[in-house]
Amino acid sequence: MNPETTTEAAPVPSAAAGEAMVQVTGLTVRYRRTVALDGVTLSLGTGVTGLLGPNGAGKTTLLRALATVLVPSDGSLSVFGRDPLEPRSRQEIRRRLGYLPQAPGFHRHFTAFEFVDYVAILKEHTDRAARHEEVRRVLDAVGLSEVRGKKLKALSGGMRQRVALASALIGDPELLILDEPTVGLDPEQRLRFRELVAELGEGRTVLLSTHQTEDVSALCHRVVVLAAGRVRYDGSARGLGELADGRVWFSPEREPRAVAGWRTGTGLFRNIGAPPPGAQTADATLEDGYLLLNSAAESGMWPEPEAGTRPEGGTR
Amino acid sequence: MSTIQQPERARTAPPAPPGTGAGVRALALTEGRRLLRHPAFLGSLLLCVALWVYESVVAGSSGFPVLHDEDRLVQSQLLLIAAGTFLAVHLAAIRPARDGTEGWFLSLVLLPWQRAAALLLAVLPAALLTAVLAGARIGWLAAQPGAAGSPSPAELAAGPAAVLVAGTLAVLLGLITRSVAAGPIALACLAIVTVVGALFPFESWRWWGLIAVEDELHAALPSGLLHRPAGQHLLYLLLLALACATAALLRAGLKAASVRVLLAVSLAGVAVAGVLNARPAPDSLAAARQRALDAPSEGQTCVKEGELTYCAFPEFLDRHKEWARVSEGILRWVPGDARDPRYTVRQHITPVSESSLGQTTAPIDAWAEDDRKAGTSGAVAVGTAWGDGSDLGRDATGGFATAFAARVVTGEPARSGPQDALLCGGRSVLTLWLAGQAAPGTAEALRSRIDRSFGGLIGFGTVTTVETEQSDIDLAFRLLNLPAADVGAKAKAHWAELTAKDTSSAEAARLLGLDVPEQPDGYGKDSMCSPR
Repeated sequence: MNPETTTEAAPVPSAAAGEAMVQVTGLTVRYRRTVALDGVTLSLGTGVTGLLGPNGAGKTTLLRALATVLVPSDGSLSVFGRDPLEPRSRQEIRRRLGYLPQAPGFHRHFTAFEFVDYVAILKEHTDRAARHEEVRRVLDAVGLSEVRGKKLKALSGGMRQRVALASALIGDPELLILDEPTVGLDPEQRLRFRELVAELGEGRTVLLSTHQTEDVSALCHRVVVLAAGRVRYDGSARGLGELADGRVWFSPEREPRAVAGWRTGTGLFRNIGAPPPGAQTADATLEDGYLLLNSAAESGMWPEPEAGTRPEGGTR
Repeated sequence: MSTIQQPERARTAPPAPPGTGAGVRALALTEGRRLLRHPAFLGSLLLCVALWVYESVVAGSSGFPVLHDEDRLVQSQLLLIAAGTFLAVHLAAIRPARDGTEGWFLSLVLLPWQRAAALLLAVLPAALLTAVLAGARIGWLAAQPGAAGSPSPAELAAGPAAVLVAGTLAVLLGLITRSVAAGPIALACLAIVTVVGALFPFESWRWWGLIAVEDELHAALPSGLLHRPAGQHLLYLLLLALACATAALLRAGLKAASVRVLLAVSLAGVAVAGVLNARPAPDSLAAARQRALDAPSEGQTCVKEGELTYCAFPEFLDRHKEWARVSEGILRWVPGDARDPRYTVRQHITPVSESSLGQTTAPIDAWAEDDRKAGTSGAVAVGTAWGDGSDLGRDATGGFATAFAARVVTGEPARSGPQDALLCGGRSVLTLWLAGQAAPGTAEALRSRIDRSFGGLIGFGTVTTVETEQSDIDLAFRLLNLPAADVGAKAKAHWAELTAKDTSSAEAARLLGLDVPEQPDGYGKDSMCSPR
């Protein structure tokens, strides 16, 4: 199979239903000689979409373009049916957008409340009383009501990350773009974060870029995998896992033919790739599918399974 | 433990309608509040107020203010607030770059130029607060006893305008370079320019700075004799602030043609106003100053208080009450038949020299001629300074008391020539005692002058001078320790002997009740008075 072909594993709601909030067509972003995005085409509707990809795949570049911060070199982009290159439309998009960047930065001398309030003002929430009520709401939503009077420099990294998330939630945006939002969160906070994002995904579009495949498994009805600036996979989360069906097996020794493998707690090696004849395959996870896809992208070809072990879940 | 909870929906506040400027105003309010609470701004504000409190309460140097000078002096203190504003605004301007929020904030609705505009507007409350402080300061000074003149609104507005310039310049600097160090460096450069301007108070180019300092060691002049293009300078500062603001908006991305035009117009205005400011004083002003110096009676108003006539430049006429307190305190010990029925006190300005080494001798002959023409021959000169808040004020007070006492004792007005000014013997002791006991503060004023003098002769006065020997001063101060009524009664009783030219200091002291031994032969033979 051609690894550059976008795969579609299962019906995807909204985007396929023609109610796309975001429509990206042939989007290309170049930084001098480096091509960060190379003809990306996708559409996003309501629900939580996960964006996976190795470092340097172009995830943040794509998110920045969607957040109207970055002007693409080529291709077209439509958010809420508007063209972000047109100034008035861009402002309208920004009013309905919530963006949490990868490294948001903080004004250390602001309290949590002051900072979120400041962001709310930059989002043109001008009525002071209503704005303060909104700030209290989003801080409450991320569980920071108790520390809203504390300066950001006194908060932990996880708390600051939640302050940034609260800032992105200001104004109940219709499109929420989250770039690695769970960095710095402890397991319990991540769990709560998942609950929050799952709730947010009802009735609005959430694009979640992360390296945490568990978060994607838990939250996303749809996954887009980017590698080297191109979309390698665009389909359901379940479908991404199914790509590895029949390609995961255990062995007592490291398997040289495996594209990825590691020693598990039982002492056996969990291998991903083309299993040898007679190997006992294991249930594949989304992470297995993602690793398989990544290795395929790196090697430039699909690891063909041996006869009788071809996955059934993934389509090309 | 804190947790992330489910968000409530449909309770959000709708953003403002686009293009109304409401976002900029809301951000300006927030930035304005932050600026007013910033340690750099608050610190400078407190320092400025502390200086005033120290000056007024601790040093007690704000008595008898001349308001058309004080409005200018306030400016230099308000520069502290301008400096605090500059640092605070600069830090706010580079905050997104410093804290790494710049990329994030680009995705928000308010554009960089709108954020810059908000920051520029945020300087206004600081300038307004500075204006309130300047008004409060001058109001407090105006309420002080002996306040003379009236402040110029344009001079008072220059301080707040300097704050505006500092704030807008800080925004522009923050948009040009993100370096934190750029702020203090730029501030140091501005401080150097200001200090250099203050070192050349007679150079017209100093008007290119934020404030134009005058020669503050010189006694006050009537407001009409000052060359202070304050209105033009205020316009210059406001145009400078506008130029900085429009340049900042351009730099932040507002490329509208109207902004470019506004920048060009404001820069041209700055240049024109600066050139106009830097013009030297007109010849007519120099002529007016010379007339006021040589023949002050032409522009003065006189008022009669008791037996005396007081003539002063109109703005200073209220000061005659202070002069009367001193003169009446002297005349109470003068026998009625020894009094001149036409005592007059006339205010004089001192020559303005554009160099500290310049000739500043009072034109005594011209004054005598002016008094003759005005029918006030023998008038005692008094200056424009007064009070006990500064050395200049103390010298003026003590100097007038001595000059008036000398006029009463000798029958002649005080002179300024080296010999004419010298007072010897009993006349000297009596004059000094009369001056010292005249009013509360006069003895202290004389003491202050003595403490800052050296040599055998000590001169008193800022307009005219009375010189006496240290030995006479010692006797006079011993007399001042005795009850004034006792010494005064003796003075009245022995007035003729005490005012006689040949009465020695020791004789005079004994007549006034002091136990002074006969001086041995040769005592005081080296003194200036000994040949007599």
